[in-house]
Amino acid sequence: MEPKVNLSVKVAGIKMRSPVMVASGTFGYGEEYEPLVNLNQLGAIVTKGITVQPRKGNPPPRIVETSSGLLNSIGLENVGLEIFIKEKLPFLQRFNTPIIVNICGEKEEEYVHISERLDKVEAVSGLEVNVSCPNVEKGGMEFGRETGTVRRLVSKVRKVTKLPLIIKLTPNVTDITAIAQAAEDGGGDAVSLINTPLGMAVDIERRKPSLANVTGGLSGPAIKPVALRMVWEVANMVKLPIIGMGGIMTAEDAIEFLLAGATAVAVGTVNFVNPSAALEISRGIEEYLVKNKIRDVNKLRDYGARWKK
Amino acid sequence: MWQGKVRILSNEEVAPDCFRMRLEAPEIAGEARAGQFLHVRVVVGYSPLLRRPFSVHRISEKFKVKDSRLQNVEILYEVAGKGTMILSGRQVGEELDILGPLGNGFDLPGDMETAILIAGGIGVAPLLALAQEIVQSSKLKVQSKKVHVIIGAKMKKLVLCEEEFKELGCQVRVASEDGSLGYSGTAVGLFKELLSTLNFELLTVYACGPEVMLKKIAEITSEKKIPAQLSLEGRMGCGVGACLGCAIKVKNSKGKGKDSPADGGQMEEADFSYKRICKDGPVFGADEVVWNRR
Repeated sequence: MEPKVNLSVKVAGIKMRSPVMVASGTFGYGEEYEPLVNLNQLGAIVTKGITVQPRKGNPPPRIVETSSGLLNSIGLENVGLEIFIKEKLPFLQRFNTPIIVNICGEKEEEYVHISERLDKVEAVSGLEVNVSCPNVEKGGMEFGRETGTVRRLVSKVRKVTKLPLIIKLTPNVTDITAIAQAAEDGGGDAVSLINTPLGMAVDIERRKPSLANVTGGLSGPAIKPVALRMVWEVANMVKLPIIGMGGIMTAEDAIEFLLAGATAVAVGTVNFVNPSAALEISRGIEEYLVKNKIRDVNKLRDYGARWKK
Repeated sequence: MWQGKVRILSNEEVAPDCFRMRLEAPEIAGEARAGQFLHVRVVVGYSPLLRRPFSVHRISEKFKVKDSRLQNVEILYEVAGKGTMILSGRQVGEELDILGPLGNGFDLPGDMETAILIAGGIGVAPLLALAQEIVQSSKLKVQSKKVHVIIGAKMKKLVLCEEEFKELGCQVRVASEDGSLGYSGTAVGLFKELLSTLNFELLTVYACGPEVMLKKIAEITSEKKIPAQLSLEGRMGCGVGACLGCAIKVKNSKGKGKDSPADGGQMEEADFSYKRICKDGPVFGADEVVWNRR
């Protein structure tokens, strides 16, 4: 039976059956959730952030729960580029779902190296350029806080790959629309927002920070209004398609992002609570469209442009 | 691995602030092994946000029968924060969203002749399932009377599961820190005494409890070259190895750290790595863990 409504979207040239993706860092390399989730039904899988060399990550404690949120400072632990290609990608390739690789580095050359290498790897549908990781000493968010830096990095990566480039933005900036514009100017094809805002928690019994790294990135329902505001602002200022994320727990949350101007959404922290969340949210969006007689999910993002302050 | 809603069959306070909850969970009962855990969503909403991990405490012996109401799994938990406080108020007949069984479970060497199980406080939770598994296994040589259990607690009223272990035929010894029951002192003290008075053949030590206790047991077993398996806990996110939140420092098998003292503060970068408590554990070999200096 033909679906009653269209749920498929195209982001940066990547065609997805559903607008609901799983966010980087919250779904491992896919294999961890395969026993529980039909990976063929996801809009796309965004992998854990990959660096040229394997990274151990930060010392524990790495996570702490806060009011309606989760603070993390994982520190980009990952298997490294070559092991990722050899050992993790073949598993993901078995599924009929776009694979977007989140890439990160301490130096521009590392982003360039990874992009050049993955350009030749057929299983990869796109790159999410991580200029927003708040938990590493060097690189990550350092590359995402000034327009000049963003533009330069994106244009360098652009030169070495034809893969769709999705720039993942940090909310820890004065004006995220300027950063998004810089991503476009550099040759990016889409933007993901938001990565985690920096936060902190203190263990008052031990009289020490709750995280070994002192600060961490905040995710979960606590950040949703902030994320939504930023998506709406960027949607009104920049032409690039947006993947909206930040605290999406339910279909209603996702629809808010789509109405505000996002072409697709990604769910993150909710995966830890409910591994089937992405699929349930996708079904919830479908039901909403049917109920409201909207035939195409792509119609939703027109609404945000009409809202004026 | 399974996720879904199960019915709460009982939720009783068995000692001050310690609760035993029984769940009708045929999907888990048939599959779970001692040392694995359940990741429990204590509320329907998002406050608290994350699931809470609890060791499989006891698996119904009747899990092979057809009646799903008899296919039960139990958890034993101490009220230690918001999540466990809410859990302790959940009522019989209500549904609970669980994910599991997760983690690796204890390893039972086929040639093991003696087992010593050391529990510190609420750490007794996975060890009852372990005693059950050892005693019920037809593949193992070890007799129930060669399963020695040390239960350590602060005081008499916090000693958990003494009768349950005895019913399985285990040799049970109790240590209380205030001397109100059994040996006066810690489980570690009683363990040392047990080792010095008895001569054990093909012994494996299993332990779960506070980190300070596990660290001391690791030192003792390492010195005496006794294989030991420890069930650890940590703040967990996903429970399935995806979020990398519950990292624990371990010695690299090839690095120089292999035979050096397990002291994290002095280790070279190349000599350690991080493992995930949820996926690579929660049971670890005592000789691989690098302990924190506190």
